[in-house]
Amino acid sequence: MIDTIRDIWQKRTIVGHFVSAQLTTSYRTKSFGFVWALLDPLLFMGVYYLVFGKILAHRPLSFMLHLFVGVITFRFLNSSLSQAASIMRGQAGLIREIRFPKAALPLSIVLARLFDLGAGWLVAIPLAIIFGSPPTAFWLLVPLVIVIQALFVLGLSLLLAYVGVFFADIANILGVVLRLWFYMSPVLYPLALVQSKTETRPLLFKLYMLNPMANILDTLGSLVERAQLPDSGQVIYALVVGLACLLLGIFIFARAEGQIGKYV
Amino acid sequence: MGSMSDRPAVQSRGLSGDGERPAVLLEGVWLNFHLRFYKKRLTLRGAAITGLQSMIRRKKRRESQDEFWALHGIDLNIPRGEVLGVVGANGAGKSTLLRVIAGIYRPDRGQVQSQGTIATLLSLGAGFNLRRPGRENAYNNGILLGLTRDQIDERMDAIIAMSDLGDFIDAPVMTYSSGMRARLGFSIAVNVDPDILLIDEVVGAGDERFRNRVGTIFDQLRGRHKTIVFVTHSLGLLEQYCTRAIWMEQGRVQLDGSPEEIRDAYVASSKGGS
Repeated sequence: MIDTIRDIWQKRTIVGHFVSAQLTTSYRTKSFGFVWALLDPLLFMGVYYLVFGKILAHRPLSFMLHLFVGVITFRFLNSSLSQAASIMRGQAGLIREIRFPKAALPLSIVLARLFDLGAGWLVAIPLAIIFGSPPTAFWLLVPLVIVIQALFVLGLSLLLAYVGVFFADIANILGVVLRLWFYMSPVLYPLALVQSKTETRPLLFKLYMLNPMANILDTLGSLVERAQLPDSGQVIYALVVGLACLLLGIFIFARAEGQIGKYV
Repeated sequence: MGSMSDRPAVQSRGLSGDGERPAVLLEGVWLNFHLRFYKKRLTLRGAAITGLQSMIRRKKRRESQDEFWALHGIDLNIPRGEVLGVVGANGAGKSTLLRVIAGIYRPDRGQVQSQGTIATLLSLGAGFNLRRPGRENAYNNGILLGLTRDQIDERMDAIIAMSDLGDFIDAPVMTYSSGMRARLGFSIAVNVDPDILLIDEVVGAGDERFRNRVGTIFDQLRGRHKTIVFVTHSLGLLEQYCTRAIWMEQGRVQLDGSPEEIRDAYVASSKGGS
């Protein structure tokens, strides 16, 4: 496993190259270029504002910040995983042509999507002011939460990229799973809602909180919406699950490195 | 770039540096393709069953219908400064051998060791983005083969000159003929200046002028103790370029010798209609 990590480190130029290729296809090929990284979150915020603030419900402006942070955070998971599931087959020609650490491909996806997430947080600052809860000092802890989430997302991306080599259907299954996962996470509703609905059944709430994304999103909620220190239990749980996924992912790639080329 | 491994370190670390070790050393290399992974209808249930089965009889490796052994215990010692030609019928395992040396495939049994950096040219630009100009593809390929952007900047003129593409370097690669693609791919791989260069049947797409140039370049590389492994179907090129040759047959090294010996034996067997 250490060899795999060292291999990636030695070939970091290649990782950088893959990241810039990812960002090129996302942005540079378009007329507005990198402006889309900022425009995209703004536009979907507009849609959510209409749907949840005016049409379906009349949620207060303060809820809009929760919605925005939730959506960009979940989108980081969503786009990373769906791209990772098909990256190996997509790059089969390259994999069979040149030797490089295969884990560089899912890693570059996660880094590129991390860029999107960063752009989203840039947009979050003016939005927070507009929505009436301007950034506080607690926002400085947000990058730490992003790092924890990134470990988790990278671990899962490695696993999915590996499975995708042998099992192309994973992309379709993943689409459904991610949708379910989205509704099972406190994005479109506050966690407090789940708490009040499960008051009589604490076990159900514990079950709900097994979802690392619920912990990550509520930690962000503490920092951004409620301006308070997060629940350390949630942070530790997310970190432990994230590290476990990452270690498993690296372990699998260390073992499969020489097999992937055969079967993509 | 480190002087040592271009592959995961397990296989090539351990010995301390002495110049006399071979550039490439294969010991009893077996390589298996599990055919079940190529079946379209791989179901979760099927995968679970075969997964369990392989866990149960993990030690008992046998040649079942599922297995295709592309390499059957290859032993090969390639000293530095050698240009090794590889001939053999289609499906004899030539390309698989190159991929094993490159570290793209890891052998199922046996050992592969290599000393120094490796560059591969295994097909007519599968790594190329056909819509983008040659120059940009040279950048991308150069990085994938281990160069930094600065190094590529320094070497770009040499790449363009060697490929003989002239102004075409700024035209999309899809406008290139296969010979032009071969020339570009070859120039990039050579200018990466690897210690070991692995080339699969690409040079044959070039014209006479290019083939002759390749011969000169191989001689220069050999003079600098670089090692080249070269798969070809052209016995003419085999004699022209190589210092040694092997003939592969069904995943085995049938014969190992001088290019002339290999040519004679290979021609005799091909005519024999076997």
